[in-house]
Amino acid sequence: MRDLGSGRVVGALSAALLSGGLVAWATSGTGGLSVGGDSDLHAPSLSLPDTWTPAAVGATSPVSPTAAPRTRPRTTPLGSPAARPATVAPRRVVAPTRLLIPRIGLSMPVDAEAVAGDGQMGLPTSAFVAGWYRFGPAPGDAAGASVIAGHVDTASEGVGPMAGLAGLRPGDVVQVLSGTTPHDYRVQSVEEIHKTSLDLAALFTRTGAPVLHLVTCGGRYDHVARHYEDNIIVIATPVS
Amino acid sequence: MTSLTPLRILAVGALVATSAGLSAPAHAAPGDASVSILHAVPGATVDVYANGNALLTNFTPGTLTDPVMLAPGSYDLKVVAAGAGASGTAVTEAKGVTVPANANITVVAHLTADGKPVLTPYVNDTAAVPAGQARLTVRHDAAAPAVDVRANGTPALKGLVNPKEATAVVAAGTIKADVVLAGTSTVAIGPVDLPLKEGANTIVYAWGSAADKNLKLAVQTISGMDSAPGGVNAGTGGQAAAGSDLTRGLLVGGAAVLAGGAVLLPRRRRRRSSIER
Repeated sequence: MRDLGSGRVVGALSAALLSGGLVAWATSGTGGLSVGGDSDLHAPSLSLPDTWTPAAVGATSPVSPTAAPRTRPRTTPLGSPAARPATVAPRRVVAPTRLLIPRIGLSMPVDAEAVAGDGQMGLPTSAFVAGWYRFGPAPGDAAGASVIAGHVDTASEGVGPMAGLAGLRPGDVVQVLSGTTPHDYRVQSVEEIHKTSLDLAALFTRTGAPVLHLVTCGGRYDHVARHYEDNIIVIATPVS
Repeated sequence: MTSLTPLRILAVGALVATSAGLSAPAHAAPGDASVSILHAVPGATVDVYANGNALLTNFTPGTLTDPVMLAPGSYDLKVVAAGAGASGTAVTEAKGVTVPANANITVVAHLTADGKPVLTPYVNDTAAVPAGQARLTVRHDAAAPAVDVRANGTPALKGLVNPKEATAVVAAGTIKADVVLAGTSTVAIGPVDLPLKEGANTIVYAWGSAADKNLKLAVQTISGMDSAPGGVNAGTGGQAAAGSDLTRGLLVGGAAVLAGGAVLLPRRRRRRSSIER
């Protein structure tokens, strides 16, 4: 029987503690995931000014908030503003119907969602269906962020396909189908952001360059409050 | 009951020569107000002058201009029959209309309750609206008595008199809207399908003349006052965290075991055989 010697045992324990500690630190949660560089979704929440001035292009134009590069309202020469019949211009929306991310084998139907009773974004009940925020831009629109979100897990189903978002990398292909019309995107960044640090105005912005925001939850799960502490956010830009 | 000022239409379709317009820059300056004009006087094609300069020509009833950026200040507004010129007989005019800085305003040419053309400036409410909601504004600009505005048959805004307005923040979506004589179910206008756009102010104008049986609704939509939802709560089971906790635990423990074991593992010593030489 070999005599190990107390020195060897101490050395073994130290090595175990050191290696274990290093791995624990390296796999620690919040903020550890940030691939593709920080987005501008960390900024302090922007507050809307009390009054807005609409852009001088049609009575129904959206206004640029301070989140996007500030665009000056385009004005017509004062001698001749355009005039049109004062009727409602119905919003022609083509809603997304399916989310596809080939590299991680994700294929989910997409429902249109509104606002939940607690003021947060409405979501489908199942972790196997994604939700599109119906009041914001749709994929294919000329401006703003289309937001598609889904549960990472549910109590009854366990972990769902959105858990794969955290593993996406810049350059990954994302496709959204609106009926038979495909919209192709490329991932720019993947981030885990603590919910209290998340700039919701920027996440749901309706102005600026068109972009796709995929959102789920991650990080530590608070078993008392029964919700996750972080959001996983993937930003993808259209491939023309 | 209504008596419109007789119109003298000098040249149908003639464009009034415009001067340089008002002395404001070609692009918006900080503090500028956004001003739209609604023509809600039935039967009159008009030109609109501001401070003596032509602002709008051949303006037909029921039309709304795109917003124009105006420097804040006081403006003399004059509406004349199309082609009548700056010194033509006023269909209606308003001197010293105050345009405040950064305001969002609609100036409405309309009939009073007893049928006289008048100009009324309204300030449009552009304060942020909660996510999923819509602002509804109704303005009584018709030669008609007090009205209620109903949404899906239920009075929503009651007892509105010319030229007053009422506003409410409601759930976004399409309602069946009609206008009834106040306190009754006698429909004066509508019903119409009215989309209340989320994050926007949908402004409905009742205009025209009850006596001439041409009461109508005009609609202006001002967007850009939306709010984001309060969050995305996308995980209710916690299993993903547990799974990653388990993985993490295995990694940490595994690393510890490997490191410790590597130290403990005896090196293979080449033991000299007792028979080696």
